[in-house]
Amino acid sequence: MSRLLVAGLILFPFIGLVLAFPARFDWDEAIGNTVVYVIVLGFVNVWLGIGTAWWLMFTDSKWKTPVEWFTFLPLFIPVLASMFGMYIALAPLGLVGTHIGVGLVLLVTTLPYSIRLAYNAMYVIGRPLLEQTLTLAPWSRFGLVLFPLLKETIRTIVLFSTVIVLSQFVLVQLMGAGLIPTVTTQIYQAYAGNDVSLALQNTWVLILVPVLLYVGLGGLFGIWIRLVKGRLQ
Amino acid sequence: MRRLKQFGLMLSLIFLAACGTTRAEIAPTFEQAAEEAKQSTVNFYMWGGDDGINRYIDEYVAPRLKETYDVELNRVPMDTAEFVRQLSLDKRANREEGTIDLMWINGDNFRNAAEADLLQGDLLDKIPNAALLNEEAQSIDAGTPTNGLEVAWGNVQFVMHYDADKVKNPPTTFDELHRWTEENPGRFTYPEVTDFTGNAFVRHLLYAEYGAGAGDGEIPEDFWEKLATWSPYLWKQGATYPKSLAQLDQLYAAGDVWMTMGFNERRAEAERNDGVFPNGTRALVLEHSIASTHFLAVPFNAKNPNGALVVINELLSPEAQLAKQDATYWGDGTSLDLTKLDAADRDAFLKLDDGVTYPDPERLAERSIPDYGPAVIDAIREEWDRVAQ
Amino acid sequence: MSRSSLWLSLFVLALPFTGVAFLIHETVGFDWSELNDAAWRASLTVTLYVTIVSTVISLVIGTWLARSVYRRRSTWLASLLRWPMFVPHVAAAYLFYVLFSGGFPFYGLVEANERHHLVVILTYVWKEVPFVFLMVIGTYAQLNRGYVDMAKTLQLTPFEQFKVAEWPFLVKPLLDSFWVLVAFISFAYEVPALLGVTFPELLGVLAYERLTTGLFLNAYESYAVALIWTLFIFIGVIGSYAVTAKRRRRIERGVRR
Repeated sequence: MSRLLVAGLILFPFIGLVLAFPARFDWDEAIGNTVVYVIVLGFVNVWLGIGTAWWLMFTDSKWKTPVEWFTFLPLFIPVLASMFGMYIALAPLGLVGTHIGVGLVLLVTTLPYSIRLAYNAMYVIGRPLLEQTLTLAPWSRFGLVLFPLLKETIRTIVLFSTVIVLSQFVLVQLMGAGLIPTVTTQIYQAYAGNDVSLALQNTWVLILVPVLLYVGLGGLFGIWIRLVKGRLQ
Repeated sequence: MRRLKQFGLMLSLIFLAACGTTRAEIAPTFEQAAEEAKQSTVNFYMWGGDDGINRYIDEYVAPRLKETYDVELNRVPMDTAEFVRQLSLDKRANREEGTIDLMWINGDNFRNAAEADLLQGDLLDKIPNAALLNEEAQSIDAGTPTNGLEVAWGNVQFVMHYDADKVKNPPTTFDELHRWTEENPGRFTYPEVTDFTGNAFVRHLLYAEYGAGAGDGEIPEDFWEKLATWSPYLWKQGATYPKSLAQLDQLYAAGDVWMTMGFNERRAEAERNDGVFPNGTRALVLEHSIASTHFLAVPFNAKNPNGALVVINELLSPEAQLAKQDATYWGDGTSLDLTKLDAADRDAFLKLDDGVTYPDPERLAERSIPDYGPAVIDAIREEWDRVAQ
Repeated sequence: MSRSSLWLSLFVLALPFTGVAFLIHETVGFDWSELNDAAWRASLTVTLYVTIVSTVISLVIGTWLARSVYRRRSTWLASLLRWPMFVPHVAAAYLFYVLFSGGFPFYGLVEANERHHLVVILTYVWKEVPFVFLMVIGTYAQLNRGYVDMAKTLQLTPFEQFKVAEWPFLVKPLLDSFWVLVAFISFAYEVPALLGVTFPELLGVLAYERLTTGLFLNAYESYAVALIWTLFIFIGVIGSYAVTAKRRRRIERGVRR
């Protein structure tokens, strides 16, 4: 009984979604952009997050603490605060209104989380275990040992970066100069407007993207694990 | 060593990309501009909150432009204040080649842009159809002279709409409106004054009390105290106000409030025909109504100013203005001077004025008043908070 | 391989710092007394209220749930808590708006867009409890049961057991989460804009509004507020880390000699 109560408390906001199931799924530019951003940023976050966390774990250089703080503090710089400075920094490089520019600022909002998550996970696994992998060639290291150990973390990193990317409206509007539509920019204009069912339909998309990605990755990793385990036999 | 070389290569590529950005030149005559603009894209930044307006641009204007001038029109929906903010950042970052070619602007957004030197001037002599413009509408924008920095696109007047099925005896003056809200609590509200329409509503109330005398921006305390007496009878007891006109329309469509308002006497027709607004929607003109013009402008760093000129010319043509005034799309009044058109065109315009939700055009015309200047708009924005508390 | 990741990360992460540098550059010569008007003061009060209440509730519930999962090994709860994490903040705000705009469960009980910002707090709590849970469950996963058992044998009260066996290990993740949540909630735009009221507005909403409407002069106010708020959070983070450093080092390395 108490289980039901707790489950109810956690799940009740989803009632709103039931009110409008999307009648049709138009594959337009906004959804295309969004999916590409989510996948690319997920990949880049995993790569840079694990790479940087690895360096932080194993380095003995005197720069370790400053670098740690440098990667740590952007978590506390609100997006609204740094938005305009980033625009001015990237405008002379011609990156405003381009996919690279928008991708870059989206990476800025997600990378600190990824580095933190990767570092925490590797810390828990422990340096001794990870040190053993240094004897392997890089690809074997990642494929055979690190990915299986870190697969949950990778899924979490991808989930976090996806959800954060999907939440960015003001940032994408500014850096993309309105030329880069994403599901969120379109949906925000729908939220402020008249059509409730349109807004709910778009909300479905916003929620389905991370879910599908997460479940998809789970399946992919499952296959990978089975392949790796096969090699042990 | 190898890494250093890679890094150096990356750096030089970045610098290369930063070079080669100089301002685009406008052609000296319209014919040359049309030549240059062939096969190019024009990015038209405008407020995207009204479906009718969006359809007008996408379904009527864009295909015509493609056919006649071979110009691709790209409509970019963005709030006016946001892209003006973008332009000011561009100016700060010395970005000489921007992404905005043409924009829809008016009021204090125009004033901000003009003061910050964000617009290209001398547009009027390069646009043939500008000769047809209504001089009075073209010269002043909410109290700020335009000086050729923007081109008048449409003319509208402020009108309120109410649901005649629910409101049996509509008020005829602002005082009666106040009493009406007391008798029908929770059925009326207006957008926050950061929204253009909400600010305009408060300007109307100001005019009702003080007339043109309040034009200097000094608003007496009594006015705010009187406005605060409206609060207990407004929607949600005045504890919160809709953030934008779109949200007020949403409340009106849902039947939570029984009146809405806006700067376009014909805006409710299409919504009523689609069933979004209640069937009983009718226009309400109180004792005066502010007339307002909205404009088109070209920013200082437009990549395709020639294309922008071509689009402006097309938008000012009598055929396009006629389609714009038609209730199928927008219903926006024309900025052209009807006396400068030939007889056939003029008749076509005059025949358009009949919709169920339209106000009586003569009554509307006689109650029209010019807008206050920017000082009042700012003063209202700064001081209104005490009412919202 | 990790060296190149490092350089790329540093390059990318330098950008928000240039953002802060821009803010500093803009607010040189700013008249700080301009911020002393009713709108900003009320905004500060309401922001502190919403931020602290949401953060504290999220931390408490998140930790309590992590603890329950640890002690009862209930995986159903852990997987159930995943669900809110899939919902981006904007979408969550809208879902809550749809549910609460007419009052829920019946008219007038709890409404969106009202002065106490209850729905805003509820939305944030709903979204952030899984986040806190995730941060804390890692610690519990590697908690040494020995401490817990020892506390029991010493006949300590349940509260003291918690304080002795679990709390020292929770300090770091809770501190992290506290500041992340504070930084996020206090200066966000999308959620409070949708679910809040006209006056007083949260800091992020007011700053964004002042930036995009009215005379450009108002922009300096927003830049100044963004700057002091960011600095305030920086000082909070660095300060709280410095104060707890000694204790955390003792926990991580143990007392030697």
